[in-house]
Amino acid sequence: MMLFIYHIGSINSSWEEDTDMRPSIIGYNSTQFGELWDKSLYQLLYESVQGLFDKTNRDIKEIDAIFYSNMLGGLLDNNLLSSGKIAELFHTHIPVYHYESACASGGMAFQQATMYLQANRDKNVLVIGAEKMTDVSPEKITEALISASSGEEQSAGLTFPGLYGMIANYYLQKYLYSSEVLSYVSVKNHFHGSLNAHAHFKKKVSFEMVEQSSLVADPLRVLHCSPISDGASALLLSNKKEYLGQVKILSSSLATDTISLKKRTSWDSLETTVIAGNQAFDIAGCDRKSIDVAEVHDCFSIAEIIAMEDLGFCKKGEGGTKAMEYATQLGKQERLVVNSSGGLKASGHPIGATGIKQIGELYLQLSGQAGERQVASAQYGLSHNVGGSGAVAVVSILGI
Amino acid sequence: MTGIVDYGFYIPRYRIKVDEIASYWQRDGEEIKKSLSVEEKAVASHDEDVVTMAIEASAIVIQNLKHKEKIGAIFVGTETSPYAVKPISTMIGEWLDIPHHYLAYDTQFACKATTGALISANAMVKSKKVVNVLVCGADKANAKPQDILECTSGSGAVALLIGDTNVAVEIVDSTSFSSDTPDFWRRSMVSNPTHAGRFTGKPAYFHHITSSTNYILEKNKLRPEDFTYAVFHMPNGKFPIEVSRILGFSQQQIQKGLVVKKLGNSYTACALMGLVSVLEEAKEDDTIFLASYGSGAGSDAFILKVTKHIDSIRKNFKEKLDDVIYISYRQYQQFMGGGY
Amino acid sequence: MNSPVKMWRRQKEIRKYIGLKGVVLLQTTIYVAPSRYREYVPYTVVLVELDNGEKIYGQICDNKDPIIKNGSIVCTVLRKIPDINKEDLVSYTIKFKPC
Repeated sequence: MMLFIYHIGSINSSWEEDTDMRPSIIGYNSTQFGELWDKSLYQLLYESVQGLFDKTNRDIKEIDAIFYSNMLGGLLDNNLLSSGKIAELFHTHIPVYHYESACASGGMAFQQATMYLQANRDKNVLVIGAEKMTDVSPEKITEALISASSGEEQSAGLTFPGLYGMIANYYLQKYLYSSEVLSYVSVKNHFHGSLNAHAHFKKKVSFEMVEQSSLVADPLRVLHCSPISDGASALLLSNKKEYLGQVKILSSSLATDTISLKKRTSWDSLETTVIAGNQAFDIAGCDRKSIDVAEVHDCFSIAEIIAMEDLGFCKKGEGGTKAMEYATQLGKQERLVVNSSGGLKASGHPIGATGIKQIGELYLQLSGQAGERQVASAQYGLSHNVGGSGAVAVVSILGI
Repeated sequence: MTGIVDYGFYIPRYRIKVDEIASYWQRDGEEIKKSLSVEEKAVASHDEDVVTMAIEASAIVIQNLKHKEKIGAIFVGTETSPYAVKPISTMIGEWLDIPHHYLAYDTQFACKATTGALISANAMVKSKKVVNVLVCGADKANAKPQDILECTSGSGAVALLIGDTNVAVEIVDSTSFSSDTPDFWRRSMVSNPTHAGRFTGKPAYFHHITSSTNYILEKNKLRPEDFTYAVFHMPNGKFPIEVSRILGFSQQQIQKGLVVKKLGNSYTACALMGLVSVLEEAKEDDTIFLASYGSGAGSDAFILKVTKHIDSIRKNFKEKLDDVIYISYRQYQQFMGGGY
Repeated sequence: MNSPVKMWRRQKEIRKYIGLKGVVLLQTTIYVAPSRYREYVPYTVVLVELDNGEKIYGQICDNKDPIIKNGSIVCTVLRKIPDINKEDLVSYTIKFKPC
């Protein structure tokens, strides 16, 4: 076993020399994602963690630090200092770190948790992501979300669908696709969502339904856009000898770029995804072909198409063609299955929770617990979590 | 010699037909068009106000101006300023990056706010107090819904640069006739103006224009037929025709300046827009008579003479007149709905 | 209340964009807008490269035909942003019209 692990270790690896001691995922629990009128933000957070403790037979006394991801709590509820709130909830004095990078908050919290475990031996950490979005009107949410764009973008009356709409029009015009190509992604992700009991949307959608949904920001339609959801997800990570888990974190890389779309070097590619992806593969020591299952950030359908290219799963400009072939759909897959959870589109997008849920889905797949949506013999998984129109990207690779 | 050395103007692209307004209120469009002699009017969009329009008109002048620092005063006339307290003359100065050593004030005197400022501007230049004055008039005129005023109240802006070098339109003489005649007003906290019906005619418009006109003609020993063109303030298409007849000007003289038929009454910019239309074709040595009217009331009258310099500053008016997008009454309500 | 200080600073930055031409690099038409612009949908937002080399965002105004595409030539104008509060200072921004 030692020989096998040494073989896939990379010389550039900044991980432990004794690669058995790479951090692993011990457990995962998520609440339902959707419109959860009965539960407040902290109730959802508490529920996800309590469920995790129950599943793993642990309690707060065994946790050394908490990494928390949430974007809108401060903006919508006038509530900051979440570290204090969480300490209060769990009756603890351990460090609690809050991360925000818009939709990549979860990825960032997870990446930081793995860095913590690299730097500190013999620790258990909780990574929690939570978001409450349905207590206020959709207009208020749209306005709150746009805080993750530049001041100029906000002044121009842009929204996030608008920013990705610009990217979509650019991509479609450059690679000569019709806007229909976007709808294939939604169909696939809803199909996966129908197999996920925790998904916000468990109904399949037809291609026609997607094409006929109303425009939000040309060319993106309602069914090309991820929904407004509540939810919380929690992971238990460890590098303690006695808690070694099967699912190892092989790498987690974060890259940044300009917040403003206009200052990027290209508009049909997110440089953050490319950089974080290359680094993650480098450190993990595996290649694109090894990945069996991936959770890719589909905040809007175009985002998944471009991400597949940026992550190196297909050639530049080919993402649309692959989408039309359903090349990453469970049952039809060419090689890898993308967004078996339903993606952001169908499983829902409680912003702070998404990045955590993505890791959780990979954990379920790699540990054979994915039920109806199990990808057979899944050994390596990749998650891809993006903030804003591409200012932050986190790519993590797990393996067994 | 002092007078206009350059000018600019702005007409919004949007037009609403009198027929459209009439049909919304279930009235006879043909009858209204005939009685007002107006077919349609220009309307500023929801994202335009007198500041944006004044800047568009003034930018035409400023972009050609080598020495902005010679502007010693900026006067803006309007009755639809977004502010009851805050100068928009300095906003024009700032947005167009005009160096700060200038006198600025906004004036209000209904439809003659700008021509009054023009008289002061000319005096400041003539006395050599300043080198150039930027005089600007802009209005986004509104009216009570269903009031007949809705069919004529329009939007527009005109900017004039007054100086004494390379004068294109000489201000030979000017006069002003003023009184307290309450024909049309708007109280401070109220959005729409009120008018006194037929009182706006004989004792108001006609009395003041004939008074200022006869006074200046007599003073300069001139007669109406001595002028190539005549421009009168146009609250509708009928009044200027009527007053020119009373005074002895011909229909031919007033024709080119009669822009109200297609543009409506842009209040303080109205008579000056008529002048802009005339300047599109006026030649060296042509003379232009201009009389504005402002409710409340007063009239400013000018004797203008065109010089050879007109050729280097002449602007195409017809192109802007014909560049139109027609809107519905519902859109009109939205455009005007945000206040001034 | 909006910030008059921020607006005063911003005025000095954006006034230099008045009266310029540019080419459209990116565009989308917004149908679901933030509350400030909700009354005015649909509106088109573009990223334009001006002839001075700078790139700025703005809405399209005064457009009937033709449809704005990537590559269309536009001219800058100064326009008003809708009031949030009737008491606030009026806010202005650069928009683009076809030319």
